[in-house]
Amino acid sequence: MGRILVVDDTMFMRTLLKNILFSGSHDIVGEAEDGEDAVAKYKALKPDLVTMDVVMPKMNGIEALKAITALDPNAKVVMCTAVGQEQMVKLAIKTGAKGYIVKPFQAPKVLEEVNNILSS
Amino acid sequence: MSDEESYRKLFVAESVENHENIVNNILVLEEGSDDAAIDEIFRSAHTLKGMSASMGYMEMERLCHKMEDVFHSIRSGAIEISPELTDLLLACTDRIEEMIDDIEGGGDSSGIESEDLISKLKEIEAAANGEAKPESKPAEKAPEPAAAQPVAEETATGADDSSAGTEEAAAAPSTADSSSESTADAAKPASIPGTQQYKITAKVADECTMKDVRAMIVLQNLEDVGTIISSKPTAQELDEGIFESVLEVTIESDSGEDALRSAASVTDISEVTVEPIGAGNSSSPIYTIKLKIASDCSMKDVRAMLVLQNLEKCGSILSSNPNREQIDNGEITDTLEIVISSDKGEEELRKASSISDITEVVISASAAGSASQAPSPAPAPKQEAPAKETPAAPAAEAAEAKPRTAETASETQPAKAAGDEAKAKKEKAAATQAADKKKEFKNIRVDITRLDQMMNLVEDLVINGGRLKQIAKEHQIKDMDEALNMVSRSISDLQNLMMYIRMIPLSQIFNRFPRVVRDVAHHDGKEVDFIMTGGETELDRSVIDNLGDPLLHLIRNGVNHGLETPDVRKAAGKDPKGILKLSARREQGNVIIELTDDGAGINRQKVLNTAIKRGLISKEDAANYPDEDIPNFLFQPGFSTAEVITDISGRGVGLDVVKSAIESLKGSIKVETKEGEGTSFILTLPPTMAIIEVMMVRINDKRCAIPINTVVEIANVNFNKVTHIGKSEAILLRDEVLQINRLDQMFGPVKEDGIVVIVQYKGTKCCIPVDIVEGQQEVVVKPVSNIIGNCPGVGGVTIPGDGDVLPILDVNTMILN
Repeated sequence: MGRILVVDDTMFMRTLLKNILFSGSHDIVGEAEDGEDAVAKYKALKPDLVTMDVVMPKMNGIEALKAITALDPNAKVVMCTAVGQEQMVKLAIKTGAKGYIVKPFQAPKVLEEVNNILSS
Repeated sequence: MSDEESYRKLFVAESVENHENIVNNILVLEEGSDDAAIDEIFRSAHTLKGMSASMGYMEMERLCHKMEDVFHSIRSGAIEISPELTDLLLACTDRIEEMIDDIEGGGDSSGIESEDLISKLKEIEAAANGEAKPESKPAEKAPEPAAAQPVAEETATGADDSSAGTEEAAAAPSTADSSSESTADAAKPASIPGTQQYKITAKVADECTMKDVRAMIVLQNLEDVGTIISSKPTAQELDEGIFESVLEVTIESDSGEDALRSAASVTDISEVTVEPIGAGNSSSPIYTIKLKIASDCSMKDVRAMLVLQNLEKCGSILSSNPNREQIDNGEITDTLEIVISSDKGEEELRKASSISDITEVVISASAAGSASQAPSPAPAPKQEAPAKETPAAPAAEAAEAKPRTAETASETQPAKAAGDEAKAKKEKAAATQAADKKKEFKNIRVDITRLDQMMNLVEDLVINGGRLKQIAKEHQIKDMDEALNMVSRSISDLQNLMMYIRMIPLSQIFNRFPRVVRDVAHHDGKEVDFIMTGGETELDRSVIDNLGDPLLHLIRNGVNHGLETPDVRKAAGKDPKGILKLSARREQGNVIIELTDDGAGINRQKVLNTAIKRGLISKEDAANYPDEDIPNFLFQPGFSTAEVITDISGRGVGLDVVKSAIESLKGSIKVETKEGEGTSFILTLPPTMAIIEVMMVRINDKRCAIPINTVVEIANVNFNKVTHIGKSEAILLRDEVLQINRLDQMFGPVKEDGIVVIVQYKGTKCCIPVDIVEGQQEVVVKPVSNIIGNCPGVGGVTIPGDGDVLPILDVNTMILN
């Protein structure tokens, strides 16, 4: 299945997401805890897909998304978001995000979105 | 279940961090508005909200959500920081702390309500919204901009947040460039025979969260495979959140029905229909619109966005220069050029373009094919050129063309940058930042228990290495001895490294102090400038763990007793705002923590009076009692000179407890004071408890270790002069009566009386007769296993290279017994 880079500033969320993705037999190739880290790891790891948190220190998810799509226009980035962040997500979609998942994560929803985007 | 438990642990650890972050930044805000602090609080509240929602702690989620909302409004300027607001926010953080504590203790925090705080937060929001924008409802979510302007603002702040990042990722706008251009390229096939118009409807599933965003994704995917003629709702409307559940799109495409269907079938789309309409080749006329924006216009980018949005309603915009992304990023000069396909006619387009600050509108109709090439001299049309060859080509090839355009874009970009010195500088900054990124790569988080396990393994290695060495010596295997020398060097490096890894910065406990100072100062009506330095100084985790409470006590004490009230200070000619300074530094292998206030200092007479009252000193001695010893009375159990016992400190429990806590960390505490000028508490701590310096002694051929910090001196005494006091023995040494503490029970009697080690705990000395003093060395302390039970007098064991297990004396219990 997919090689996935998980980006979130809390280990809690990363662990949660990793376990969901594992259960869908995806490979977690790396984790990043802020936007800069995410861009660096994207370069180094070339994952099939990135799950990207929006609110993060140093460089937020939108900026990281911009940088990643600049590196790879075909990058598949899924935004991790929460109700109330509609504007941010829209901005992300306009910037090139391929999809989004909503916190609190529901495993079937997360896997559906990730699988859809991986197979597109 | 264990999964649940590990989530809970992570949750607690990270919640505590975020909670602290909020508290400290609220305190920063109290000093004056600070955008970085607001952002930090916003981020932490958001993180807490997300985590608590994931764990199902709904009350906490509600509270954090509301706090996040309020900070959103603070950030946007709708709410101003006031003392009442900071008090309320701090009360919220206290509630959150309570919840975290409950969760840590195994509860689910459901018993802790926060409705009172939430409704207060709501009141503040409502009041602010009432003043700012009368008709808009109090924003439940992030305020959803109803007009175009706020959208622009939002994106603008988004860019501001990390404007450095945007510019460093220099290629970012250019890719966006190429992607929007590729839409424009795809537009051209509109006029090519063979394309077909379709009507597509996509229904978003009822249970989908953020339906409008789903619809946007569909629209965007469709843009990749054709040209969108119109959609209902429009992209703009979707952006504003106007969406029920069905998206209707009219599109022109040569990709075929299946491709369109799959582009529209994303997650949460429950139904897709694709119907061809009429024959293709129905393109509307194409116009090029050139606009001039008034040079004194203050927000040119917002103006440009408004024009684009107005024109969007008239037809479909094929390209613009600068493009949307550049406008979003504020990259715009005085001109805006738009290529649009529209059947509305020139007059309508002129009307849509002529908004305030637009000084000139030139509209020219152009033939479809040449439209985009002729009019715009900017790089944009150049990039369109290669794609022009692909119009009739299948989608796959078109997709291939995409990266190519991206390439051309990134080629033109640096060329432009070369002439621009500012940009070159930014690139340099980007390079250094890249180096920083590499550094961050190396940080990982490890469970402390794993480090402990590793430490144990390293210690086993040390012991077994020592044994091997002895074997090599006994059997006189020289090669092995040499090899083992190398091994033991590596082992000792490894051991040092492990020590280093266990170190954490003092800031971990320092962080909660500003809040404490604030609270005590408020309570006492004092003004305090609390300064912390040296938070980066590192100590072993075990030391840090036990240092928090004693330090907390000293700090409370400092504000409560050390500093005077503003009136008293003014009367004494001091600044009404007192200074409390907490600093930490490394000094000769030790860590020194100093807490200094510029208060009244310790009153000699007051202390002496209390000491006399309590029978600690006679009136006669008191008169000549040395100044520097005065503060030591404060460390006597139950000693307090405070006239009023407050609920914060001054109950007489305290400084003695602080002292023994510091001593149990193998550290020491000292007080320096000057009446009228202030008091300093100076703590000296070993950076780690796992390694201590000991004196090795031999009693009855058995070795034992005495912690060096308890050893006063080694003396050769004449045992003939021993006096017996009851059952115990004592000896007179330099006018001091010292009790003799024989360790016969532990080791058997010494072979010959003569040498004693004099040890001291809390000012009480005693001497231990020994046979031989072997010397001083650093040893690794291993705690005594619980299975063995309580062994008074033994603080731990150590295992030197030869594999012996040696007790380390616990001098304080020995003396107390």
